[in-house]
Amino acid sequence: MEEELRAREGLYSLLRALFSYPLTYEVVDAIKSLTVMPDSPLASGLEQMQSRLQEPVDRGALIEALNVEMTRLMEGPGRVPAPPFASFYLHGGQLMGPAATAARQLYLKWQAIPETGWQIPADHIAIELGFLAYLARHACEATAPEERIRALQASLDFLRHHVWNWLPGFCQALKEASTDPFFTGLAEFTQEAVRLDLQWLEELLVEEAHRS
Amino acid sequence: MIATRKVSRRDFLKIAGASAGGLAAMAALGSGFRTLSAHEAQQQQEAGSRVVYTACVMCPAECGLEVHVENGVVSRIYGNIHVPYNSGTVCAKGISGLQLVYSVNRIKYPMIRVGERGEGRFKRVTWEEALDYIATKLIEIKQKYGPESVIMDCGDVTDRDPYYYLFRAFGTPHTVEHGSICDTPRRHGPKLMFGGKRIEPDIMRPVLVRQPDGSLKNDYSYRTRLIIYVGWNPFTATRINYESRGTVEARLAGARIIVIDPAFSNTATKADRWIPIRPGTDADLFAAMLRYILENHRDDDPFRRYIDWSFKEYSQGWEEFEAAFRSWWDKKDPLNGLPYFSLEWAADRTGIDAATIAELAHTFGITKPAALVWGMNGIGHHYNGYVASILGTALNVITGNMEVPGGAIDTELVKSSKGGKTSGGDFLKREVTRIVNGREVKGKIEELHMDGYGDWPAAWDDVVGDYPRRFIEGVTLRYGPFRGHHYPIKAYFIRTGNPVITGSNTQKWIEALTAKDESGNYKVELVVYIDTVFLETGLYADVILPEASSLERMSLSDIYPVHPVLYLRDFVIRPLYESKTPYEICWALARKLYEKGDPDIQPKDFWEKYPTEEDFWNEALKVAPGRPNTGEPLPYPNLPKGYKLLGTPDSLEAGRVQIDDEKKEIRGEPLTVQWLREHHGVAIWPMSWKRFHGGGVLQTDSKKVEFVWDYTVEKDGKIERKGRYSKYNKLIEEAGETPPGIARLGWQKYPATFYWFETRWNPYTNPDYAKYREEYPFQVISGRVHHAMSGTQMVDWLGRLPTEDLWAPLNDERIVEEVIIGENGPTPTGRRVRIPRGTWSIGVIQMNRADGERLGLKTGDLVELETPQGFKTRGKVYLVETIRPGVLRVPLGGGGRFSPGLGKTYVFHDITPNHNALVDPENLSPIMGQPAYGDVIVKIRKIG
Repeated sequence: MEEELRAREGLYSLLRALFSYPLTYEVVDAIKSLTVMPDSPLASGLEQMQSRLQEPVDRGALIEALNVEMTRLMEGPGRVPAPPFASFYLHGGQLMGPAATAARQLYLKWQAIPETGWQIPADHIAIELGFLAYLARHACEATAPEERIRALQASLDFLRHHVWNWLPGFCQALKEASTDPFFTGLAEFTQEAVRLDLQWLEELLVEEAHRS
Repeated sequence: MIATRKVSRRDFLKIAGASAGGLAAMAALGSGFRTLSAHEAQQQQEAGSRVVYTACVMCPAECGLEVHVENGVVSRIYGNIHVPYNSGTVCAKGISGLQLVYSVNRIKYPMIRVGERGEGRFKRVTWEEALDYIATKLIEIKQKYGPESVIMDCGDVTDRDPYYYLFRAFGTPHTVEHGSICDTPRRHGPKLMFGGKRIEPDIMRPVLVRQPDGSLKNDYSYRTRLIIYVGWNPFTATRINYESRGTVEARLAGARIIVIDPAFSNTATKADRWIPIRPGTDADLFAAMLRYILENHRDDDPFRRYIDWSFKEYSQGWEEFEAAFRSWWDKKDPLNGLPYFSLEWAADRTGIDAATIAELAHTFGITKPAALVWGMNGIGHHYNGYVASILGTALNVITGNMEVPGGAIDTELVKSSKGGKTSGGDFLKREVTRIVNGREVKGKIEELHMDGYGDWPAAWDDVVGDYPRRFIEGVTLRYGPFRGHHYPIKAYFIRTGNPVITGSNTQKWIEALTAKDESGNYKVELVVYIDTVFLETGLYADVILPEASSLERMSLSDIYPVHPVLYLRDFVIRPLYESKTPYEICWALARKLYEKGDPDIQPKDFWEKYPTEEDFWNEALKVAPGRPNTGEPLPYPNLPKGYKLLGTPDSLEAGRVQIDDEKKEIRGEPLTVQWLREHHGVAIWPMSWKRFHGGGVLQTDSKKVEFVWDYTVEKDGKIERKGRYSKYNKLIEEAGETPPGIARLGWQKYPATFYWFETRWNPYTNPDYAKYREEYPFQVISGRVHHAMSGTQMVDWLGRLPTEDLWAPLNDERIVEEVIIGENGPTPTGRRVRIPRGTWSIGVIQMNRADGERLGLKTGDLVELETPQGFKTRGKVYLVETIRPGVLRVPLGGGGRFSPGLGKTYVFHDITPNHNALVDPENLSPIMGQPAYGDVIVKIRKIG
């Protein structure tokens, strides 16, 4: 269990970093170092990302190209193919809708604040994934079982009500808008990873409920 | 779809990663969150809700607002009841501000171009990288070509001061604002004759007025008996909120409203009479009105006593003006053979019958108080708008309507001063040296100005419409100490503006921004686009900087009130994403320039002098209200009359002042940001009238209304040249060279008093163009839609609202693919969006129904418009009875929009008309170089 919890924190930290501009050598190296079983649902996405990273080009040029593409896909200027904000998908294309407000309130309930402050809307993909990493750490560090369950339940609720209701649409938009395997792979990898964790949490918390 | 596969809980680790330890190690990448104490979290919650008084910028009217914030999100926008300018009202544009602040399309981060200009390919960078790039380039340009090779174009919102301050400190005289591509001919008369700018009716209510018992009270009464709006549509145009409310209220109080406009505008719907004039003949109408008044005035007949001779007490030069005007009466127009300015002559040209013109002149002459008001889409957009503006000003003056209760007021002269040292004007006085034709020459920075000492010496608002030519050819100064100095334009900063769509001919701008030298480098080496929204000009930028939206920054507003009123634009929320306020952008760039060794940027002028944003704006407030204690009733009867007032309203009221008899100043406690915050965001000083008397507020050399603009006076035994044109004429005489603009009119220099010249591209008034009348039978004019210039058309609420037959829900149902900037430019995303029929307004071509039926057209038909020069645009026709036959009207900036940052408006760019695609790029009006947007003729062809 401890191992699984630490792995979850690592997974969400990685996902957060992958959606935090700019992509860095550290993040790219993390992707390179990751291995999964061939039949893993994560394998396809990871392989696409890794294939891009293994291209025989200058490392700096590769990072540059990835960041240019990431700019086009998610950063701007103007209309981008895959806006990385929940409100866009849930509230008719406008940002800072109820999804952002609700996320902000939840973060503060957990006495957590994004290091970027509130300048980036609280429903940005990287911030929501970061909050899941924050809750995962909370679960890891919890000494009392009920506190751990509380953090895991909060993670599940957050995934259900704040992430999974828009993430597939976002990943779909990302995948369709790019021919770069790093980003098509990122879209698949992210969606599968979050889906797996959602499923894992659901099963875990049902078992915990039965146990108690 | 992304494939999914079910997995059991026990398999999670095995599937997620071969090594749990490997994944766990990635926790080092961090969550991006930090933990707050319970108290801090509570504070954050509470800080998320508040009410802030601020000023709108969804359009240049900049109304006072009361904005509510909940959970850190702007939730409601109301008008600020304490700001008399809009008196608690707010329009659809204002409340749509939410949709701009939170638009997915707004610029969020700094960007640097990675493709060619126009492709729209950028890379997000840090502010450090962006500023380093800009500063390095600026210093290179300065060292190689001089700082005068840099232009800072500040757009159309009033909080431009930090940009002016920085770039003037940097050493360029080219700090520009949008006004020069808006309506400079319209302002010319008031500028020449008053030193002002903008005549508006006295209908801003309430106004704070001193009572006979010494108290101050709000006056809500409307005294106006007549308003004539000529080519001015305040109900739709941006700028003057109170004119919309005030016109209705004044009419309810008994005023007569007459609208003279080729199209039945929203303002016309509230008028007693609409007179559809032929475009470009406003000067003809005014000239005929003036001639009628002069010929028919009788001092002894109360029914024909048009002229109030008391105007001579505060004016000079009327005799010369009148003589010059009358000198035309015996001449005959070569086109119609009729005497100039006669009723018959005007009737032939304006298309208004002679009896109506006579009635109009009589009505204006006999009805007092009255105001004759003209606007930007009419007089401001014609080649000879200057003549109309001068005549209109004269008509208001001689009928005794200026500065009387209910009459006409030049708002530029009576609004509060603001800015002071923050405008950076002192930097322009610095002496610099240049080598001109091998000779070392010294002069002031301002004397390097490409317009004032180049082709357009009378262009006190700069000539943005002529920039494309200068971008390609460079600048050669003709006047002043640097005469003969040639320099290129190498850097162009455009902030909250979109000249590719609004700054004269679109294609000409694109050519200029993409022109390359023989080495394949862009001629303009650096283009920086600073804005909240991403418009067409941004596609041609090298660097994009995100400016904070109007709800995220601080500055001051005071849009043409009839007496000093100043209100604060305050931080409602902190700037979102990585956007910065103008102050932050300029101070950060200043630091970067300083670090790189720019000798003109010194800490003592920037962060040491104004360490916080509030310090900067407090400096700008020091000069408020800056107007004399003058007029009736005297604003402060207990303070010396005629002295300049400085300080807060309450300190002046209480007499907490210092009186400087030498400077003739009354200094109360300085107005500050904090004082404004404590007073609902607004400072209001008392209203008075008759402020022209005894010098008052006039800004002319003589402190009188001037009907002559180049004259001499004797002072201490010396003869001095005076008048607004004398400065330019002296330059011309010294150089022995006539500016090209007026040389085209056959003039040697600027006339000393009344002048007349014809507009261009008008086959009905100018003999040179009569040959086009048959083949190009339509005149094209523009009208306003309810968007802020060209900048807010991505705002969904505004996109749905029709505007007076110019912006109409003519869309068929469309399933459209969203378009984004792809790897090779604008590219469909594949995501389909349904736009139901009749739900999205698009720019259309308004056309008289009879014209349309004669040509076999019906509403919704797609047509192409083509000028004699071959300029084309296309759009759907909208047939109505409410426009003069032979006239087409299209929205300025309302069609042909090709920035994907515009959302649904972009979708219809191929079937909506771009007015500026038709504008003759060489047709810059002769005095100040404003593009003559309203002088366009076309033929029409159905294409779908």
